[in-house]
Amino acid sequence: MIKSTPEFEARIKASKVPVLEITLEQLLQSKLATEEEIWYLRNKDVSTTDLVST
Amino acid sequence: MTRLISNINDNRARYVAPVEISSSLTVTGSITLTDSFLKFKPTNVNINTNESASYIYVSGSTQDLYFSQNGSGFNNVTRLRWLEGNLYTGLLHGGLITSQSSTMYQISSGSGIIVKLNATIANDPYPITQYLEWNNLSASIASLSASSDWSFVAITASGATAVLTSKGTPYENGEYNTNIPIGIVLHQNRSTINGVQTFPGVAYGWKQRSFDFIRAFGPLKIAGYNLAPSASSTGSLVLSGGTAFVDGRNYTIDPNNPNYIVEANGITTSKIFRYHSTGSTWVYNTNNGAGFGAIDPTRYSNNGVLTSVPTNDWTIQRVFYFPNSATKAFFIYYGNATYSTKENAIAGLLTETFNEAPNTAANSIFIGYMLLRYNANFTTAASYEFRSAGLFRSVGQGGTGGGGGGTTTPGGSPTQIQYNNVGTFGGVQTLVYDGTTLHATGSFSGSLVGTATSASFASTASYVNTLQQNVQITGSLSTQGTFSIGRSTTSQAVIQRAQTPAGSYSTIFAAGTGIVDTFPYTQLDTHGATIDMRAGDPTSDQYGGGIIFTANGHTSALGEGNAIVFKNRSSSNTYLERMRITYDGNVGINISAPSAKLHVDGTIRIDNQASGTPTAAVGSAGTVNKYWGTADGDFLSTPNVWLKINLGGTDYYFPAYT
Repeated sequence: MIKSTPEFEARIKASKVPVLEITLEQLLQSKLATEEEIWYLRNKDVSTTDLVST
Repeated sequence: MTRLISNINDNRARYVAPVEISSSLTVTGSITLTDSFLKFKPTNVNINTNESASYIYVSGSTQDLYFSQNGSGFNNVTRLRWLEGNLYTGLLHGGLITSQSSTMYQISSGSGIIVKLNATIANDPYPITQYLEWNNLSASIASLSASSDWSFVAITASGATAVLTSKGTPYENGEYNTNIPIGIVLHQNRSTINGVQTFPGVAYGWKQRSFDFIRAFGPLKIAGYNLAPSASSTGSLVLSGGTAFVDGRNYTIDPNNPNYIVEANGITTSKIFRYHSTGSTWVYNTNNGAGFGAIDPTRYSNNGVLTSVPTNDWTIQRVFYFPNSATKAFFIYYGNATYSTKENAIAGLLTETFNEAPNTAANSIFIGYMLLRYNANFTTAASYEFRSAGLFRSVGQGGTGGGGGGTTTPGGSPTQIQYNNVGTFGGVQTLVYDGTTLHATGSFSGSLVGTATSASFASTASYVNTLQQNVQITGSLSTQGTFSIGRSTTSQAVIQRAQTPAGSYSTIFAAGTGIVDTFPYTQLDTHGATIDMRAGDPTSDQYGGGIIFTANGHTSALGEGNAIVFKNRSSSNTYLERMRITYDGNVGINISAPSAKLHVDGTIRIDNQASGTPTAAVGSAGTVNKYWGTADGDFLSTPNVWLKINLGGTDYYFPAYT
């Protein structure tokens, strides 16, 4: 999980990789993440997650 | 009764019976003895030595014959026995050895004397001289042929008769006094004669024989006569006084000592005659008799032709001097060869061909050698060296003249090896053992071993080197063979270095421990030198892999100074740098001047072999825009879809792969 920054948004745009906006519930329903991972996301202090590699 | 008969025919008186005269008989005119002799009986009558007259008499006390010569101012008595003491055993004539058959040989008729000196501490010698005369004498080799290769044959006395005698070894010591050696008969097949040789000792001509012997040596320098530069010019010489033996050259100074010369001064004014041989004749360049004031180091005799000495080369010049000289000049021979170094010239002292001119060979003494550089002068010590001669002339390889060979005595020539427990030797002390320490000057090569386990280690295959801290080398040490340390069962290899105070040492390497030096900083401290750990031959760039810790100085700005470099060989057999850590901490891979903490010139590949993805090489030189990363260190390849989700007002992205 990568926290969005203007630079990261620009790189995604330049890479032309499609972006699909989903909610936490849709993520759960899509089975793309396990319940344990969803629980982790609900309780994570997301403010500490950073993009570390550029 | 004596009768005197007068012959009326010749008017002479004749005694025909013994006549006794009880008083003096004075004869005016000659006395002739016919078929008779003079007989002297012992007398105790004293001679009137004040009268000028000579006498022959037999002493009543010694029973010996004496000669007495008397006159105003002197009287002299000589005993015949004293003169007989100067006779010596030897052949007088004849005595030729010939082979008569395969086993018989003959000594031809001849004569000789055998002198028994009969000298004692208590009394004058009373020599007994026995004259022997013989006809042809024959003998067989049978008594010696089976046991010896030769028979040494001689004449000896058996009573009053001369007989032939022989033995299997040469006559020696006192045997020469009681036998007359004649020569040798060879029977080297131990059964028959294969040669004879006559070489007798003769009983006559001692002076002539001894003079032949003396001349074989030539005039001799006994002491002194030292060569030295003089101050008159850079090439001038002087000669100190000395003593010498030259037959007859002191006669005009002291007829009582005609051969022994003592000179207070040799040559005080430099005057040089220059000699060399053309091969067929001699060139005596005396400068019209005036001589030259200085040496000529610039030329040498090149097969008889004076030729310039090549630049930096050396020659050997020989110096001679005539004791009690009329000219007071040096006679100096040009060298006959050139040498690239002084050391080579020194070696040439024993090998250079040298022919001596007849006049110096017969009458001069050999002063010594001058080793001369092509531009030698006596104000430059490195350009010349004197080697003083000893008693005899030098050894000349293939040369003629100049008397016999011989080596110079200690103090006269360079001494290559000395054992010196007391006193001192002269010459150049190249290698000296004083009983405690071995001192070496110059280079040393070869083996150096200590005490052998046997009397002669050369005779046994094994010996023990017992040298322990007894050899100190203040210069460099090199070896072309194995250099072993602590090669024994009781000690291990230890390398030490000197430290303060003087005489104390600390170990820097010990077998079984490795590098143990803790001074001053680390166990491996090169104090700024490069540490090169490459395998292979550095002289031909045939290294294998290796590590180099370079240290071109602490102040170096970049790169080499304080860097750690990793190299190995490429497939094209070229030694290439692969990785470097610079002084400021940048790590370069495939680049020798990295500008970032990790600088790679080439691609980087990251694999996750457990999951199988991603496996493709990512990134390229100068770009990182294909890299995606997270805080926990995962690096991702580009996803097929980014899932964007908003949590607490902030967007987050998940990579999704199909």
